[in-house]
Amino acid sequence: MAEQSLQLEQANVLTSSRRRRGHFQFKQLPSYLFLGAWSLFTIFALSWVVLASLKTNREVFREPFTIPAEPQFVNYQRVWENSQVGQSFVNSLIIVGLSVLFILLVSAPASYILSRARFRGRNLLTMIYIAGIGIPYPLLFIPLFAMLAGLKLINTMPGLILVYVSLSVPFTVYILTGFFSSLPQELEDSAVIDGATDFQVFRKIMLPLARPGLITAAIFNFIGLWNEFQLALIFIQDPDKRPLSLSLYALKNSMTYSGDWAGLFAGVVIVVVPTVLLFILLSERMISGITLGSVK
Amino acid sequence: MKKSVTIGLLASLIILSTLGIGFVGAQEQITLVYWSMWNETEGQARVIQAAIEKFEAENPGVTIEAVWNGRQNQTLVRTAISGGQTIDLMDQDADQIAGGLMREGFALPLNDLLQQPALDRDEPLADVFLPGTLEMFALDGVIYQLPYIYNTVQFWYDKRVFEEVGLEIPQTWDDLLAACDALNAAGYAPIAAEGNEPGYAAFYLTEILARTKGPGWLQQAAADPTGEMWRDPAVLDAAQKTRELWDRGCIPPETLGYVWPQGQNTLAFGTAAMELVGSWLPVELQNAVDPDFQWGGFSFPAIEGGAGSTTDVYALLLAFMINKDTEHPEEAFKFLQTIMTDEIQQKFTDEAFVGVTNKYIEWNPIIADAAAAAAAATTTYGDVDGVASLYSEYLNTILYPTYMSLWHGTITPEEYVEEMATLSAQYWAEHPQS
Amino acid sequence: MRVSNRFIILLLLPATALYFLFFLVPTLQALVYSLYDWSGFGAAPVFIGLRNFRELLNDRVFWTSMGNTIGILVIGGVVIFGLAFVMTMMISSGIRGKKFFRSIIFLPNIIAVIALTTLWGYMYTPRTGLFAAVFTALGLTELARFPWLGPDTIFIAMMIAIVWAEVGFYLVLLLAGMDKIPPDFYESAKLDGASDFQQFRHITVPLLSDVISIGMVLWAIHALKIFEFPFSFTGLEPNPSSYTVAVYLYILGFGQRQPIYRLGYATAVGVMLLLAVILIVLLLRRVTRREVYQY
Repeated sequence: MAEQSLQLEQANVLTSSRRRRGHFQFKQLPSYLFLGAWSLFTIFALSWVVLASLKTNREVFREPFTIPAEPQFVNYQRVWENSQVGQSFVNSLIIVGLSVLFILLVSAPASYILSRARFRGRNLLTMIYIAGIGIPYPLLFIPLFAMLAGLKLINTMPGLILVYVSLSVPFTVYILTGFFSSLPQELEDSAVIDGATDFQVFRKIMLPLARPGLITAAIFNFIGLWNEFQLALIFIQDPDKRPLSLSLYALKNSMTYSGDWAGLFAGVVIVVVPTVLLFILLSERMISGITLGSVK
Repeated sequence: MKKSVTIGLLASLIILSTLGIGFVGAQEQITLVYWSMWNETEGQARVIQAAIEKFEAENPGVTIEAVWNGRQNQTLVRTAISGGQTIDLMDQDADQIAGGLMREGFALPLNDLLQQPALDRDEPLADVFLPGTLEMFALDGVIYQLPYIYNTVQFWYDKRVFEEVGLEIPQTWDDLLAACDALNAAGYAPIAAEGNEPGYAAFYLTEILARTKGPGWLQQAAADPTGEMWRDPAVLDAAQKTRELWDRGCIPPETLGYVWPQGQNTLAFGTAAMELVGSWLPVELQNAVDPDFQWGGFSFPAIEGGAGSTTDVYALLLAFMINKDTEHPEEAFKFLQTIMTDEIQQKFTDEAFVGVTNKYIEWNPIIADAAAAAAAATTTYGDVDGVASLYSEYLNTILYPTYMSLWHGTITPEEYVEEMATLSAQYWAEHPQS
Repeated sequence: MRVSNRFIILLLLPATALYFLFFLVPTLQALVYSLYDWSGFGAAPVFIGLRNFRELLNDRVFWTSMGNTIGILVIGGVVIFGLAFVMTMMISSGIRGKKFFRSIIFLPNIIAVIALTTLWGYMYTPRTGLFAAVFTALGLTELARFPWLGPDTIFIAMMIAIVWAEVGFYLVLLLAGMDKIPPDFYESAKLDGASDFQQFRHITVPLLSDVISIGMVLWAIHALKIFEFPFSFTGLEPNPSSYTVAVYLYILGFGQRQPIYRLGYATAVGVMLLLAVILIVLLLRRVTRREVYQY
């Protein structure tokens, strides 16, 4: 008995040093080297873009590693004046914000019913939803375009939002049903006994309990839609309505045609920085959100 | 009580809105929507902006809403028109319009409008154009496009490098190969090229066949339903010449990895000497070259015993098209008249370094060699000898991919001939020509 | 739970209506359109039966694009999950800077793909690109001229960039799963004398199976519609040798500079993609549906 607990204690010491942050161990050297090299590469590549954005066009290619002799902030000014990056940022916020909101608004109730209500055809309907995850978007390009053209929704933000919401429903429902079905039955039962209506049970009890799931779904969709490109390319043509991803593509074409590489990199920085700042602010939330969703 | 308030409100709303309509009606404000193949930052776009300002000043009550789409313009226009958008005017490479919107019947016939006098001359607008340009893409005599920029495909070269190495302008294919050797010996990459740009690579196929068999032959070969024309010895010869450029080091091997515009950049950076490309190159590279860079251009050299001549010109026109469904054809055409005025055409060549179609305008000295070629042209032919405008799908699915395999050296010249013959026959069996 | 039918319908309706109208109906329409020759959104489609599919069988560009798509899915999947596993092991082995590594490796996931393609396109440029500059600095002039984006290596070059960009997401997923495994599992395994590999094989993998299968589903969805990389990686127009099915479909249906507008044929390409998905799902099910572990 005493022996066993001693052994356990030793094991605890061993595992805690293995699994928690501890002193440097020689065994970990390869890990440090590998992860360090990977991270260094990423940081190096990204900071190199920033550096290039401050050079003159001649310096970009001829002196790839030097610090620019005179930082060319004028590159940023030129890009800002010649592109609609600011407008696109606002467009992206509107399009993605509203899409995520609507996605949750329609998916949460459906997932709740699919996971917790008993009715005929529930399994079939769930199957149909899950099947949607497997349908590749490109298949829908042409029929959806024809359909939205009929509704006069091509080249409009509501049209793009409608597409985003509809195409995101199956996956979101899939994640959220998982969540709702993991919630304990007791709370629901006691609320019903207390005389709460169906809607109250959903709105006041289950929805708050599913908050982490909703956040996860929101984050998944946000990451997916913020940089979404191909659907936007098909459904938006007007530069004033472009989301950021399309605007960056236009900028890339524009800058390469005029041989303005420094300007292009400045544009990349302008587009990427707000997103990276957002990430730094939210990274813990985002990462823990992904975590919550995937591990029930 | 409540009801009467509502009625009152409604009444005032109706009055206000009719007033509003009346107000708009009095002004007759017309907006023309123009979707452009240019990006706002490009020189050509700036000139068009100047033209819009001039037009709006001369035509109060008409405004032009320009949408700068860049080179995928025609695709976007087509998509947007299908989606119900109103677009009055668009522009693109004339070959591509001819194979696209024009062939699909989206273009307004311009013949009658072209009889109106030019804005700044006492002659019909039609007479202002360089001979042959307006008619290049006419269909049964009907003109659907108004070409406003004239590009030539030639070798564009760095004059200083040619002087330094002591080179004359190559007159024949053998001269060209000799120039390559001399340039290689002097440490230059002789020919700059893009590794993966079918449209650019195929300039070689088009030019070699135009020199050996004469303009128009490639177009016939492409349309041959049996594919047998591809077995002509000239095709094998063209394929061998293509490979010769690579194998002899005219085109350096790392070119395979150049993605546009990385190839042309090597010319700007002084590591390469020349490139077979359109006369738009100087404007695209204006930010990349040294201030004292000196551009020269020469036509694709002659090939011994060939039917074509070095004075046959590979011309790439850029054109405007008016949507046949526009509600304001007169106003839209007036804008095209503005584009064709001496003032605006001069601006195109002065500020954007391109050739223009107004015959009274002298082209920018930077592209003097393009101007000389265009002026002396015995024949002009369009992109890929007209294949681009006539058989664009065949071009994209058969001609380009197969030529790229040859360009990359993944197939031999003999295999190229075999594949073109078989694939063409197969293609035309699936897509019978009407 | 028993609730009224009216309530069920009310809550199900919005999502289901959207899903049916704008997802399932277009899917069914796509199956129909693929049997037509349809040259433009304004034009009248002509029924041609299975001719589009017959033509697809001989369409080399299509098979290249399908090969690339499957290649991205399979090779990319193996490499990404392999790397993500290795990194997960490394990061959860008690090293310092766990959060730092995790965030940096995840970072490319939130950057616009066009920005990444611009960066990578530039890095790969022979002579003047970033890699070339590094090789030149190291005196490796031959490597500095290597055509990374040439026909032989463009696919690998693209895969490297995709793996770099995507691996962080799956790393975060796996790390999350790892954190949920109770430490005593490893302790008792250690007591039983299990090696590191045995622990990995018999504890980590089975207990992560949930996360792994979600990850695989996510990767499969994502991989099959990869579009931006081949679309904007290669200059003026996408290069047919690096087309994916999504790119080819787009080009056929909407065109680039050269108009094509073969809507029926493009849709047939999409139907082939759907068939590929069905095959892959059946395969994946065989692989992953062995046992469900509970903890």
